[in-house]
Amino acid sequence: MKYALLITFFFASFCRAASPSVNATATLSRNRVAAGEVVQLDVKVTGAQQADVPPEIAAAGLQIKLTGQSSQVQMINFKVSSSVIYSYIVVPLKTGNLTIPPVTVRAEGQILKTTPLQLAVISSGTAAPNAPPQQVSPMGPGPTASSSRIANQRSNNVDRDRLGFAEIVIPKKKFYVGEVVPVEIRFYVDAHYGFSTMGPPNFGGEGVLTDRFKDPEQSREERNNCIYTVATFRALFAAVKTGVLDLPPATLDIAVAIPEAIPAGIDPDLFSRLMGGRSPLVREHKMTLKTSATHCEVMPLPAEGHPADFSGAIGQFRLEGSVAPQKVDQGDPVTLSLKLSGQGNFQALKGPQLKERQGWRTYPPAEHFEGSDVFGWRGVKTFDTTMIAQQAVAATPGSSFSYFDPVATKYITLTTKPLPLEITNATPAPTPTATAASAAGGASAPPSPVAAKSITGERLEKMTQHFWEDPLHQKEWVLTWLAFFCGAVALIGIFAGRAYAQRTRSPRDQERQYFQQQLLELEDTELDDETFYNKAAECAEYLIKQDASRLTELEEILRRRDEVNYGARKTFFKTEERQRILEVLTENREKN
Amino acid sequence: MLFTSNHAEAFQIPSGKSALTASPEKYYNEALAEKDAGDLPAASLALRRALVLDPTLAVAQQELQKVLSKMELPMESSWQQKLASRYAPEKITFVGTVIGWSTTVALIVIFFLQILPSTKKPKRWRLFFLVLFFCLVGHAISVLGVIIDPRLHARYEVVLLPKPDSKAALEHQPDRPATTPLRATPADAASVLAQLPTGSCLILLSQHGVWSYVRTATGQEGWIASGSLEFLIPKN
Repeated sequence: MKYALLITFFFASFCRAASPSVNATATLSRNRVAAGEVVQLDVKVTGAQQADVPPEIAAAGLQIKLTGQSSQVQMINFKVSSSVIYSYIVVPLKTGNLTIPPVTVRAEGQILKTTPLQLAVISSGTAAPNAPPQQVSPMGPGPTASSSRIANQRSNNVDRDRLGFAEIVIPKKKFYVGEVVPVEIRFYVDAHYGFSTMGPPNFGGEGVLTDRFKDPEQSREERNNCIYTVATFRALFAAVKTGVLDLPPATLDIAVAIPEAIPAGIDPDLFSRLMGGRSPLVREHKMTLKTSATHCEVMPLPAEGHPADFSGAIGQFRLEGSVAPQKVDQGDPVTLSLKLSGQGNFQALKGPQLKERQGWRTYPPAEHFEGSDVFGWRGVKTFDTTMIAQQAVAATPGSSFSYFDPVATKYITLTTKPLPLEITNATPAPTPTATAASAAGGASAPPSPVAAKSITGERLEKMTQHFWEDPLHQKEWVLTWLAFFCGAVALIGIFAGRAYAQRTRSPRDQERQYFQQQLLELEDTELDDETFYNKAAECAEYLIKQDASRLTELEEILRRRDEVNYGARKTFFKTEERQRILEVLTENREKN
Repeated sequence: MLFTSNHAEAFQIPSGKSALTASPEKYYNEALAEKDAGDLPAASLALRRALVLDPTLAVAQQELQKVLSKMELPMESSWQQKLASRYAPEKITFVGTVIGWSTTVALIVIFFLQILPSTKKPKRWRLFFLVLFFCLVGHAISVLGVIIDPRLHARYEVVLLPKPDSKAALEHQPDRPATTPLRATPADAASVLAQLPTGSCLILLSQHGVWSYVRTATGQEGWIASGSLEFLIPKN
């Protein structure tokens, strides 16, 4: 009962929540248009899934017709809300400030009215600078009787000069030769039109090295009250000669899809429906977006303070070193990792130079760069140098790296200290005295442990045969393993079978087995009298239970058991008597 | 690759069980001959093969270290190799197998014969756990033996051994190219990722016609001409 009440309360509250108040609002896609353009009027009725609206709205100087509807149902936190939007197409018939009267809506048994709206219609020769953009794209899959009309209108009013433009962003106009500078080129295209690029942007000129442009990032941005689709290309460039650098405008070839006017005499709504709701006709307009030219000044690197190991690194860097493993046998390789982090021309960067490499054999480092920005301008470049200790050494070589800092306008040298590590089984470093003695033919230094056990260079006479296959692929090994496994499984099966048979035997069989076992134990001559007579009595009782006529014959055994257990004085039993009892029990077992 | 008659006669491929077995000592001797002939990459391949067959062959280890040092190549060493060089993996596997399976049988017998029927006899429980411990240890040892066996991995390993150019071959000169390009795609014109030194040991990931996709010791992956690779385990 309590649960029924709870459920009823829940549903009551749910139904209450599901029927919110009904209201109606009207919005215009634009409130300022040029004569000849159309706007969309949306009447939104919330709190209802269906409403009665007029198919046409009478307004002075305007033709307003219903074109379609869409509905929406949402459920948030068990709260259901529904709304339906009725779309009208508004065609201005004259210029001036026109009023769209309140729209009468009947929904959920209520009569609602929207607020009146103002629409400024200006002559077609005047631009509408403060007009917000149309929300319906001619390239989009929108609803689209109205959009097709709008597209039809737009196709006649495309301002090709306003379709797009481009800008270039270079963070600094004065930089050093060889210094990499990030460049960002933004191409703006009116968001009402779809477009596609026809190749990468053209940027650069004489004396400039440009990195390949990354894939463009696409975004939307409002400029001069117009929404633009922005394709942003980013790259790094560097100047290779000093002096004034005139960068020509960066260009990008694009193809813009411009909706075509529908031929006269064809109903645009019908045409749109036939085209599956898309804009009926589209024409590709090829054009080139161009930035302004850029003037930069390229300065030479200062000759003063030029380090000997400077290899052209320009930027701001930090250097860290690590070695792994830190304990190795002589002859085993270790890896010295030198990490250069910061910002600069990482691509042209040469690794830090190792210092004091005595006792080490080093190999060319493996390079790895991890960028932390889209340009590859900031990040960490790691140089992993594999090294092998040739003698007892206590530390890795140190390293140094020189670069030019364009902010501090000076050369900077970074260093890492030798990193300690332990070399085991090391051959002592040859000493000058030992070498001299050896060269003079005198007594040489005692051989190193490695050299002492080395008998290399002599051919081996004794040949052994080994399999190419590892145990997992050798038939003999696999068969042996399988044999062991099968043997173990068989053993488990045998034992388990026996245990199962023992458990499932009948009580009579179990009693018989117990009797046999007791009888066997009675043959043990070392049994004391008490145990012997107890076991014998158990056997006798079993036999009597099987055949009551044996009572007379076996009663003596039971009596003797009682005498042993309860007798006040010690009774002596002869071995012959035990033998006789055993014979009686055995005879009776055979009779059984 | 042998270039002189002396080397050829020194090492004949064993007949009979040739496809299944080989002698590490023969490969070692072959390596010495290749080294004498000045073909260090071929010597390193023969030594690697000797060590695949018998990782405990100390002379081959030392010789390989010398050869690689001369070629300025690092000597690869992992804990598996270190352990295998001290204790023959086959012996480890055998000992582990014997211990593991014999104690497994003992465990089965103990369990089913109800030698430990009650808690009154703790000694028997101790015996049970002791046998169980040896059982687990035995099987673990046999698995360890298999894991450290170099033959398990050698089937996927190749050595970069480009053929000498035709002129050098005609003159019986074992000069091989010092490096071979590792390419980004399987094409002669593809960009070069790295120049791999001759004699490097690589892991073969896949083979597509005349191109093989390999991984270097530093983890770099790329394409290399199949003709310049020699399998560590010879394909008979």
